[in-house]
Amino acid sequence: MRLEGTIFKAGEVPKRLFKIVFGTVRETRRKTYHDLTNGDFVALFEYLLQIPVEEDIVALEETELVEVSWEDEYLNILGKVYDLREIISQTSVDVERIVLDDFQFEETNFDEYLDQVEALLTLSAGELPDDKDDAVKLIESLEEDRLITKVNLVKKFVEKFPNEEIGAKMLIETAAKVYIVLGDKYISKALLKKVLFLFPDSPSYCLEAVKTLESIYKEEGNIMWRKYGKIAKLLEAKLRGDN
Amino acid sequence: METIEVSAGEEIFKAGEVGKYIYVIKSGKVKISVGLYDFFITAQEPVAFGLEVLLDKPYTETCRAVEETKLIKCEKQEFLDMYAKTEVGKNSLVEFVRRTARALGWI
Repeated sequence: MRLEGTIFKAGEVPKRLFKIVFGTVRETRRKTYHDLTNGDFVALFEYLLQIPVEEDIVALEETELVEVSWEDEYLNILGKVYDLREIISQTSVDVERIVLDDFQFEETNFDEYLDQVEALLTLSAGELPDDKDDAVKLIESLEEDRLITKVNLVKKFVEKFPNEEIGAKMLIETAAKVYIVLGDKYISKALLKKVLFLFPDSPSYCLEAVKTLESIYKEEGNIMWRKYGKIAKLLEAKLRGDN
Repeated sequence: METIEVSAGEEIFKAGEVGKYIYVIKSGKVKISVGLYDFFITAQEPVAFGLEVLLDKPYTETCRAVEETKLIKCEKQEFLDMYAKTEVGKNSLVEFVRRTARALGWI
């Protein structure tokens, strides 16, 4: 059959299994969408597990579907599920040998982007005081309308006072504010990853940073949330052990 | 095809290994680990594991007997001829899918 639009509605338990002959079908699970094409099965998991689909499953363009049976398609179905298993191995963390590479930073030069933002806005925050407490006071005094300035001062603070744990706290708080107020995931993620780079010996701050990264990735539908989720569990276990 | 006995704690196969056999549980209990997730199967509803062999691919799960366990060990063609289109075949596929969905955080 040829169709365009909704194939299964949210909440519906698929009673028939369809294979795509041509076209594109979009499935969404846990806010992550997957586009299916020729040879893929529609709502395969929901059909086999007999559970409701989370969100409408829709044909994005004119699509031809053919009804098939699990018996005839046994090996093809298995092959599709096997491919998904590869995602699991790609996002698994080796508990015994966790290294920074596991965080899979897109890039390590986070400052470049932050510097560019600062230059674009031509906001001058002035110099950061040499006294740590004065520097903290200055940063904390900045309101939400000077958030980017705050970002840059926090960045300068952790460079100037690398051993001060309050730097980790400010990075996390500022990242959260940037995310909430400006909705800028890139800056937020860069600040949170700085916590992991600069304060690897502070597991409680790392945990907070990792949990926030998990939420951000989850919200943007990026599978990386699973990796951060697992790292968070490991850090939680480590913290329990330390206590 | 043969029935084998594995003792408690014995590893049946490990993720990453290239295997030749699919196993159908006859009695006992098996722990299946996918990534960081553990699942248990018993003979109450007979299922097979090691389905990756049907695709000539390495195992993606690590399976270990939790207690003394009897398993039917079969090769690819034997499984396809004997089980694939039966309830055992369907349950095995469904459970493979369920473990995948759980490990992906979908259910």
